[in-house]
Amino acid sequence: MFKRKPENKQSGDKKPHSLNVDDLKSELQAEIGDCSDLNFRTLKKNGKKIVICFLSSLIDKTSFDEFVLLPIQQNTQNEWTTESLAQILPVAEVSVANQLKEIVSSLIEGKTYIYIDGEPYGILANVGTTVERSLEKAETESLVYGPKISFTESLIGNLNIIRSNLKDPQLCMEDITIGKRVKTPGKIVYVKDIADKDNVDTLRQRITDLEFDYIPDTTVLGQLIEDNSWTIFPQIMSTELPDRVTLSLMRGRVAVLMDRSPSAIYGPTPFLSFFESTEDVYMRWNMGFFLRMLRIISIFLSILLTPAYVSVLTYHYEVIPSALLISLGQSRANVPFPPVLEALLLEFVIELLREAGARLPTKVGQTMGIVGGIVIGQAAVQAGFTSNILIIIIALSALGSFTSPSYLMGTAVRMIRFPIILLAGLWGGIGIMLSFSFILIHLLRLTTMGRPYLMPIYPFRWKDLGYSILKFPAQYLSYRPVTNRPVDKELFPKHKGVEKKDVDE
Amino acid sequence: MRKLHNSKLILLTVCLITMILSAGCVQQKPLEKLGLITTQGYDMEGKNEIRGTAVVQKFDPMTKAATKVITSYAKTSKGLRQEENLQSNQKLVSGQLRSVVYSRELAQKGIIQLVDTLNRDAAIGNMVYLTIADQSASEIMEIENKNKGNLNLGTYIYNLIKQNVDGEQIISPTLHEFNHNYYDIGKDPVLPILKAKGKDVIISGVGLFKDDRLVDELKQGDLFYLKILVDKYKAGTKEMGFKTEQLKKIILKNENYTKKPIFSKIYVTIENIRSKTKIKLVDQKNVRFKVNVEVDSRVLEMTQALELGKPASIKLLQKRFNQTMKKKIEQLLLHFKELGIDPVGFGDEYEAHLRGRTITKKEWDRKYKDATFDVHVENTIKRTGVID
Amino acid sequence: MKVNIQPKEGLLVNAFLVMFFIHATQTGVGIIGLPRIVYLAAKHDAWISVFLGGLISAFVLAMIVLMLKKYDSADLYGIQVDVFGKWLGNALNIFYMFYMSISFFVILMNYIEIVQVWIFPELPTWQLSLALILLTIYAVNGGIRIIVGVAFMSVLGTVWIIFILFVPMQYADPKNLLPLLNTDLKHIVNGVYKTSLSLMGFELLMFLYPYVKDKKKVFLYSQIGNLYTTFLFTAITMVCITFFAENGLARTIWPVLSMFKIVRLPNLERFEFIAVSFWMLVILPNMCSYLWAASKGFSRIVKWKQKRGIWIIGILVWGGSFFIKARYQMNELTDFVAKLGFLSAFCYPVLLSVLVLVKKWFQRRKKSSAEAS
Repeated sequence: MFKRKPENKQSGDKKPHSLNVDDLKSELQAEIGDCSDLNFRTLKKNGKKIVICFLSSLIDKTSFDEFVLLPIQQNTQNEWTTESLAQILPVAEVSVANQLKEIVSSLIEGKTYIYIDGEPYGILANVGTTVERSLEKAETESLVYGPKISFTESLIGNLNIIRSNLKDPQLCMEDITIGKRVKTPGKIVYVKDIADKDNVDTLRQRITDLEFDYIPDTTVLGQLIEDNSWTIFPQIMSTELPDRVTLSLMRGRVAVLMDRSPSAIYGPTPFLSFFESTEDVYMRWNMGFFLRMLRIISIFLSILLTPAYVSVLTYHYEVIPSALLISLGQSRANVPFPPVLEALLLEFVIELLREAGARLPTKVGQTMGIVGGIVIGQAAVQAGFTSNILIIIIALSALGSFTSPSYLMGTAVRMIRFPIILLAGLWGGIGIMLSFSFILIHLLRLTTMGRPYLMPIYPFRWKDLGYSILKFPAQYLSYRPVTNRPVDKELFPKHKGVEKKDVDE
Repeated sequence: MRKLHNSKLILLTVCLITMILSAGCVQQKPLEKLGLITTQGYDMEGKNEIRGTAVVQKFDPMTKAATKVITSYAKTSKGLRQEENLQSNQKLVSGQLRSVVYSRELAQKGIIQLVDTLNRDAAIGNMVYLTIADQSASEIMEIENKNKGNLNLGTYIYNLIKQNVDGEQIISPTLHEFNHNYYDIGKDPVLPILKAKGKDVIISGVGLFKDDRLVDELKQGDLFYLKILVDKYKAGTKEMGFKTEQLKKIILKNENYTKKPIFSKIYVTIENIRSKTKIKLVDQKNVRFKVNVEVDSRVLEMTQALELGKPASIKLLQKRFNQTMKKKIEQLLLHFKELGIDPVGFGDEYEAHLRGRTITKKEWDRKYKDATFDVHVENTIKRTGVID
Repeated sequence: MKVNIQPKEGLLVNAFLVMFFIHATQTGVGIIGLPRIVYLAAKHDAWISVFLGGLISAFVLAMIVLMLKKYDSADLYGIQVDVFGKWLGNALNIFYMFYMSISFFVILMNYIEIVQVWIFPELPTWQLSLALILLTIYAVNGGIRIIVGVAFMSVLGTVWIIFILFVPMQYADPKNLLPLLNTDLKHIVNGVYKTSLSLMGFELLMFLYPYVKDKKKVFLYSQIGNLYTTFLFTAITMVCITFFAENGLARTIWPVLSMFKIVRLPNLERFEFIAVSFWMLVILPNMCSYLWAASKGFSRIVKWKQKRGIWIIGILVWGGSFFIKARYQMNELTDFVAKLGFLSAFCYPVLLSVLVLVKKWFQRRKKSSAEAS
């Protein structure tokens, strides 16, 4: 969390604006007129002026004309007072104000300020609009099975989606402002009688304690309120799938959404939850179980394979079985580098391909990826640059690291492979074991929102194994995961899940 | 976010410095720069010297899997390695050693001093096969040169022995078993004997050891009985020979066919043999052992048609088997006793009943000379194939 | 110094994890050489010695828990000050700190020696010891929760090695175990004494106790942990006796690793290379617990920060690693620590618990007589 030096906050000028319309106009002009598209619409009636101030880039022209201008113009009967105006404006959100600072910040938010000459207060009406995109498929997280819409940048829209998913009266969406200088509106979402109060309080307190200028996205917010910023492992999950958020909410987690950010963050997320995909829930439990095992094993192998190759070929040649000996030796005989350099070089090339593939325009990307991968691989082997066995190993480990449903965790796994390869090249099997022990101790020390990172393995909650590593059939999961310390523990009465009928009953 | 402790910073820096400094402190052994000794032969050369022949597997980008035979002279096997290194363009290591061949002369003098270094060296595994050469070990190693380096002798010998051990033809001759048998008072090692035949290497028999000295050789026929006593069979095969009168009662007589036997004796082969042997010490003072052998088998081949449909004939056949086997086993055990060797492990059995004191090797050697054996063989012919 | 410590709620561990802690601290480098040492003393009845050793350690463990129950939530430092007074108690505390630091040193050096013999003959001692000490310091800095977590993960991560024992069993000769009970009692007792070095580690319960959540269950779980260790060690000793010939076992320095030489996993020929690397995970909880308990003395007796104590002991141990060069030096040191450990871990806690029971009984009598009068 970064803290700026507390600057002399301008104690809100408690100065109301002048009561004269023209003076008001010049005051506003002085405040923000030069740097923004401030506009005024002045109407006259009975010698009284009424001015409507707005930022033309932020208002919805149609709503402005129909719902603000038209009623005022058509209201010829009554006197223009603030109260009467408030009655006739067909706008959902109206409020009164007279502080200059408040008016300026409201104008920036998209409201218009209507002031009648001489009145003590003016009206703020919300006719702002934001430019949005429609609901689309999720890009970074793709599913085979299940709902596919993703969040958009509009907070209201996202909240709409969540409310539609979870029609629970206990669903609570708390307001919170994120950022000090640029106050982005956000919401803390949780189910009041499921989520643990400590979690909610921690989240709320951490966000409000932030003294950061401008927080562009929830992922940045997640990084700022994390427990430990030096580690490579993410401690807060960010997702753009609404069904993931709703599943976690019903399991007792707390989510944060922010305006202008198409992803939500939720916590506390232990280590194993980064390997869960919502597909495990939507598919049958055996398939879910198998897929989850596949994921965990493939990630474990992807960390282990390349360093094992390096250490065996550099130090422990005795371990190689005789069948593989010749092929390994022959493939290595062409290569001028020691195995460490060879492995590091190839890993670097794969990362290069991946990074470049992410930036290439779609039309070129696919061809480049396939051609580049295959051709470079082939050419490298034939030129004697690398050995073909190593290419297979590196390709398998790269594939393995992509099976992680969370992009952050997949990248973390790819990153930690490099130091392990280095250590394997230095000290062989002992080096690999040293790095594994270090990672283990490191994971043990991490906390996610104050909770241990390796739940439910350590501290051992055997009840939660059915949610995290293994996957039990639904009738055996009659309780919510204990790790989130939910207040309401049961999903359904336990006995109903395991009723058994006798033969021919 | 936690503050970065100063201690963590120091930790990281120290780690990095150590790693950089220690790069190169551990000796690298990159696979392609090594010459892997896959098999090693030892011969006696003069009074205090041995001649070592090593088959080295090299990795050469130019040719496919090259092998090389290196000969050298020294007094210990590590000394041999030094000399061999002077003749090789790659560093020679023994981590992939698969089999070791000792010449007959060396084996008759005693091999424990060379086996001891195989034990001490942590780089050499325990499953190395120890073998004896019919004449000299270098003769066997030269087969590699005769095949122009295509044979890959180390793997060949290894596979030769392994598949015969799996096929239950010979007893497993690993370094570990040799150690176990040598250091045990009540058991003596048994190692296979290799012979060079043309361009190949074959197993020509099995050598019986007294402690670590070769004293006798067994051929294939007797090896079966040794294995029945020492080990058990899961799917073995054996040819049994009988005089025609012994099986006369059950020879198939059919007027429709005239069959003239080709051989003068009748041979029956039993296979799919499952055997179990129990050795018990029945009398401790007089050193009497009871040997119970149970054999289950099936008959699939005979040189003269026998009538196997009736239970009486099966019983007769079994009885004949029992008699033959019992005689052979008794002969074998007497032979062992004369030579003073104990590959079966009677000493172990004796020690297991020895309460209150321990026995030394000399004592057991003396007692063994007076040992007597009661052999009982129980054969069961389970099936005779799809024809009666 | 306060006798009782009341750690914060968030630092407590479950009693269930005490089982893993006890087993992990007992299993270290001792088990690798154990069968040979006990065999030299008790011949082929060595497994009986090991089993009896396990029972004795169960008894000592029971006495320790009984003693700890008499206090609210004290550790050894507090109890010694309570029983012996400030000066003698603190002198004993410093002696115990020294004992634990030297145990830490011996475990570290034994493991490095195994690495140097089996895998890397040229590896300088100080390098590997530096890496391992830094790793241990990193773990201990995280606190007791992390250390118990390391113990838990270490037991989970190495449970598969037990199944590898089935492979040597195929080559085993059960006759080597007969005749049963052939050795006389004196030798068996000698064997039990020799086992004590490998079974040490459970005395660290005296330091873990204040940090356990439900203290009532400590007795049950600590006994389960010790029982599991006893069975494991007995099984390993039995397999070693039947696997090696008599004189063979007497000469093999590290029988467990020599047994692993014959294991052949698919795609990995020589299992002992992997076993030696994995053993680092086995000794990690031992080293962490000893370092933690030893450095705790700094914060309890001298009121320094525990972190400073950790670094001091770490640097001292690293310095010590320069001085041990040859096998016989290692042997002498290990023998010395074995004797010291037998006194400090087996005899002394029994004595102390008797003293505590007596003292508490006197206190109660005084109180009841004061109430009566």
